Amino acid sequence: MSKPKISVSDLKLWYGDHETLHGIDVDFEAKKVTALIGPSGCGKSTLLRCLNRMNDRIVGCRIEGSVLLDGKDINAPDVDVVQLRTHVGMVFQKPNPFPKSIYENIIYAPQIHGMVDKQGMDELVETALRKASIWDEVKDKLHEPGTALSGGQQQRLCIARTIAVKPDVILMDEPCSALDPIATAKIEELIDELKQDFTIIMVTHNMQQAARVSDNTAFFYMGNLIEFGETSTLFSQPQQQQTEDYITGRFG
Amino acid sequence: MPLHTMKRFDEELDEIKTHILAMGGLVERAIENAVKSMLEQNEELALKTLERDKAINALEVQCDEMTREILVRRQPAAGDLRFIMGIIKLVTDLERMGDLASGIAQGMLRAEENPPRNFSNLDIMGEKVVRQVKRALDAFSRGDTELAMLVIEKDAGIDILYKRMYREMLTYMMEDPRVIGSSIILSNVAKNLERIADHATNIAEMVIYMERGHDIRHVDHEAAARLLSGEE
Repeated sequence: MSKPKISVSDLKLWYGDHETLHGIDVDFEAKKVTALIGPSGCGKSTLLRCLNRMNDRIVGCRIEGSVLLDGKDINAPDVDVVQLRTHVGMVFQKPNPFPKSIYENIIYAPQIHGMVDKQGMDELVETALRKASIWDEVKDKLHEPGTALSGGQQQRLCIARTIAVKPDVILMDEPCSALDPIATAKIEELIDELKQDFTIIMVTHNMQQAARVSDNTAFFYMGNLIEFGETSTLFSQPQQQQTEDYITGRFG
Repeated sequence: MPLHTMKRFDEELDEIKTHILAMGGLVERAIENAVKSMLEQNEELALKTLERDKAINALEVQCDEMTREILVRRQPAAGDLRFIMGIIKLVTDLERMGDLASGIAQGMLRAEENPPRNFSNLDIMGEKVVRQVKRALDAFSRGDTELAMLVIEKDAGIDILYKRMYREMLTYMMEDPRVIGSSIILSNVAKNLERIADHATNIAEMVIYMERGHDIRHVDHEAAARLLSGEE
């Protein structure tokens, strides 16, 4: 593997007294799609949320171990979490556009970060929407509410909003679970294009989706990383029995 | 290995396996009968062998339908995926073996007017080839990779038998032009047996792929053995 974009070592996480992640070691390759799979409660979403410190504000949540982004510890005291999240963006399960216009959805964060130039903003909106493959569908209604779009379009708008702050890494937590197969296919096609520019880490319950879009797959079970490997190998010749049982539907 | 949460999937996989073994049984019998019809110059048995090939072909079609159904409905992964991939190949091998057995039976019918005076080692070769086919099918049935390796190892012996028979036939033909027709037929029969054994080897290689995930086709025997013992 080339130098990892994110390197997680011996990561442990507790909610109160309950240890949820038991020392995870995993490297995420730059400009690759990594899928995190495993049954509910296995820790995959918890791990994803550790990658841009989304667990910070959960009361009683405590972590040990390190998460390095480009070699730098994201949990170090001098790291500004707002800055961190401009580098590591997140797309959620349910599309959650702001109750504002499509245009404002995109420029909201850049404005907070000090962007004022109108022409620059127009360009940014177009670029972000183009990259998220939704420009042609919304270019004539940029000032209409984002919430008026279809579910699939809303999700692509949210991806555009994430891209607008020019992150290096995009985290996706089951980005297609609320979408129909056509909207899902569009997001998957988009993920395939986005990996030219971004490192993508995605949680999915849909194993066929993991097989379709990811380069690498990590299988989690009960807070442990059971197996990590190239997707085609993991789905045809897994090394661990638990992985085999899970992906062939022999679990529980 | 634990059962699938979806029990019907296990039943479907079992059904395919049963069909393959039934098909294998028919193929085994077809080879035995075809060789026997030649050795005993038994026209009736040759005709029966040709007739029974239809059942093998019908099973091929059924197995293909079942694999298609599983691919569509189950999207198999890991060991299940390798199993289905193996079945797709194995079915073709078995069907070809059936055709080659028919070829032997046809050879018998063609040789009827001028039967070979000397069958050389056809009986021994026939027995060895049938044993190879049995071993390959047992290896598949039990998921026995050691037995599969044995099939692959033993194939060289069949090749030697074939070459020996071929040379012998050439000698007869040079000595006496009257036996050219029957000698050509007999050497074709030997060729068919040699190819049947090659298909048995293919099945053995597939068994190893299905069970262990190693593709040992086109790999020499020692390298394959090292791969299986986990040295590589």
